[in-house]
Amino acid sequence: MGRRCVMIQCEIDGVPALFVEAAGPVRAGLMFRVGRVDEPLPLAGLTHMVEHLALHRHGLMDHHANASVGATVTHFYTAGTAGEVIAFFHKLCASLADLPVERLEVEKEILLTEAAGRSNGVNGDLPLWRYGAQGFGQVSYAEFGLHRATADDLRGWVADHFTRENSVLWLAGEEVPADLRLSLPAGVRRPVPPPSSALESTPAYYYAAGKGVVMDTVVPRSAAGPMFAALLERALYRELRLDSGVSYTATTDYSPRGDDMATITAYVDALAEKQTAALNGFVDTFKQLAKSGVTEEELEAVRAQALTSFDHPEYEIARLPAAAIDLLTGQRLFTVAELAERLRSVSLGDVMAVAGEAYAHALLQVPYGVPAETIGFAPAPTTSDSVVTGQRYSSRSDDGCALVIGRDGVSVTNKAGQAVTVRFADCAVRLRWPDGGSVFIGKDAISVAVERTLYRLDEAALASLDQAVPDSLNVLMPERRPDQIPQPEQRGPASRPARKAEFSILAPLTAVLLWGLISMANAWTPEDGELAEKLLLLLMVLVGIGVTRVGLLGISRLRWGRW
Amino acid sequence: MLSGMPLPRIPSLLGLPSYDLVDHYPDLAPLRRALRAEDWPAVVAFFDHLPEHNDPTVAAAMVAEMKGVEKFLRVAGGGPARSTLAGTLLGARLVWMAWQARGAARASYTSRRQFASFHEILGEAERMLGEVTAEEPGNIAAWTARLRTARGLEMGQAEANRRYERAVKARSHPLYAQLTHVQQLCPKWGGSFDQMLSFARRCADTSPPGSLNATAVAEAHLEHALEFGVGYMRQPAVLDEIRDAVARSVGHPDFRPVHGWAQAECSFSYALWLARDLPGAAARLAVLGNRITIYPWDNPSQLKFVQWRLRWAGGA
Repeated sequence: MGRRCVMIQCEIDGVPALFVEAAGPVRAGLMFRVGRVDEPLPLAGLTHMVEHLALHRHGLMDHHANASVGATVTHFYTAGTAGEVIAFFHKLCASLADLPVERLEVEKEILLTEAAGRSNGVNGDLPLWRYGAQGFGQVSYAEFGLHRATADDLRGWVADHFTRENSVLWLAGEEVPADLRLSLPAGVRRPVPPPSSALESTPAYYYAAGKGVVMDTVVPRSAAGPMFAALLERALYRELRLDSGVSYTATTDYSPRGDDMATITAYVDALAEKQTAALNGFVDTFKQLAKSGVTEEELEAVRAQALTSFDHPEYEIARLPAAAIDLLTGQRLFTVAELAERLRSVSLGDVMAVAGEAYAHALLQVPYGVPAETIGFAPAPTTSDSVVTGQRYSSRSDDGCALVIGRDGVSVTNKAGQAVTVRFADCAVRLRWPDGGSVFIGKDAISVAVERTLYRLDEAALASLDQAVPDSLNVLMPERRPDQIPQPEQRGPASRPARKAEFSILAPLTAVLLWGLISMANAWTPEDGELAEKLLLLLMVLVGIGVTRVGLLGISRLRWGRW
Repeated sequence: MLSGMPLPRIPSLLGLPSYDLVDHYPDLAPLRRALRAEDWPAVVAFFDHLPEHNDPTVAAAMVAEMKGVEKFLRVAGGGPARSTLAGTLLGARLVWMAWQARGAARASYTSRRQFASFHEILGEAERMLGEVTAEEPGNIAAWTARLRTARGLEMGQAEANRRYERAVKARSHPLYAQLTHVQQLCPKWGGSFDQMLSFARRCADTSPPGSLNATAVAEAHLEHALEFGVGYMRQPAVLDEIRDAVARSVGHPDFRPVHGWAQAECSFSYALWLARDLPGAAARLAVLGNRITIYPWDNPSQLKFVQWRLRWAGGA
């Protein structure tokens, strides 16, 4: 066995660095503590634009190099000869100091194309339901800033975030190249924003389009956390794939959030007809882990598997990016020996504690149409507690909904008395289209659409909303195609059953006829002649038919509870 | 052969057959007394000491049929939130109440109001039983009740199959889970006769000799006959299969009258009667005495009539 290299902390031009001695090409990455959670929502995508522009002058590179923007960290990485790596970071720092902002409009188009081709992943909606339209929830939203960011926005963003104090370098190679320079401006370390919450209580669930059941939960970071995630994956795989054949995929993930917490995500897929089984199997398995725990054998199996990763000769190199994130977010760095010791010391009780936390904070995404009322989770809020006071504008689809425009916000109310409300003071972003339509998105992720096509709005009403929110929250969206403009729902003719209509006509008619019959019969004398007699007889027959029919309809309505 | 096994006739009013599970299984009497006296420790002790060969689903069913017992079960032992036994029994009681609220009629003859309260009560039962099985994955009574909630809440075949697999993990050859699953596999609940029959045969074939599991075969054929008429039962192949099921269960030398035997005898006697095997039916009825289960016999007078017919025919 070769010599095991250990991670060394050093500093290059004031940038904290992590180095591991390794043979082969030099591998290195420069990270900044900035990501999607930091951006103002109307400028979402700023960091992504910076990342693209910063690499633009590099052109086509002959060695591996790329960059990514995550929730909390932006990462530029490369692999090549020492000379290539030095040149890569030199150009990068130069570009950050002087962004090629003349490329901005072209780069926006490229980014819109990238966004159109990228899926948000199976867990893409969970953050907005958990955190709302702010902080950690922003990763669920589109990059609205692509429609609004200016060169000045970008320069300001770079100056605030792409600084020496807000970065960490990691490098694996024979040595730290002596000529490696990182000329970054001075700044401050940006802390991870505190988490917001859009949930009233957990465990909770919500409905969304999807082919499977996906859940995330937040637990304190610990050595037992990843083990619990692995145990959950084993349990889900056993229950839903091996035993019942409901799912093909059953997988979990454990990711530190950047503060002292970590997010555990779990996903199982299923065909449409098996999604009820997937949901129930998922919840049963998860609940059982939280309530009854796992066996010692299960724990040891997972532990043994986790310990083998430490034996990998490149382990120390492979963990460099994760260690860099920890350093950047102010988390403690552990040596491999410490990590192994922490892993060995995890007890069944530790795993139980994580399982309990995980269950208590779970948020579950359920495919539409799968009943979830019986799983024992609370429905996540989809309505607001209050309605604004102001002018009401009724819905064009006559479904009893109405838009309310008030001085301090907008609401949509429905027949059932429910409402969605965005107060202007709590508005995260307002999207506006050239055709006059707009959508207000509140910080709690509740949104209200103000559309002339949906409500009977007049110009004055729309004009009153012009200055509703500060201009910094407005995003002017590109023109919509006619099919992108929302249209009122077409309601079918007479949704009421024919029997109900029949009853409501026949009952009063019969009553009138009966009243006529009684009064005529009272007034009848033998002198009235044969015609009057026949008329009375006819009335009697009609009343008889009416009473029978109304009686039958009424009895069946009472008996079966439906028409 | 232990066919005329000395099981005493139970005394009952006017000699009418009794549905009462305590009459069927007299060892359940202390459980009922404990519940009537609201003596929770005695209830717990009863289930703790229930012999392994008795499926606790039967004792839970006796509790489920006790009127008003839910009031006590909601608080007993700290209520369902604290005691899985209280959760199991209350869950079973709620499932029973839900089906009572629904009525025995087919879906098209059930009113919307009946359905609403059926679903509401079943939903409460399901939430409660879900907590119980999470804490006690080996609780067969809870899993059997959850098979019933899944059927009532129309969760579909995949979920029912999954629950059945969990029931099998909780107790091998779980008779009541199997009989419930036979119902689930009926076309009226989204299954098919082929699936139902092959499932029932699998239950019988894999069960230990003398166990009650072959009852599933008789009940599967009875469900079939309900759809296609009694002519179906009189086919020689069907009759042979029912006789074979009797021979490997209640007619087997290893048979012991464990909880559930009265259900088995009722299903077999009814199947044999429909199949016109009068001596066979008479033999089963003789063992049964005047015990009767709600399924498959329609009512006590039907049973009395058949018993009288068989005696008259010189069968018994």
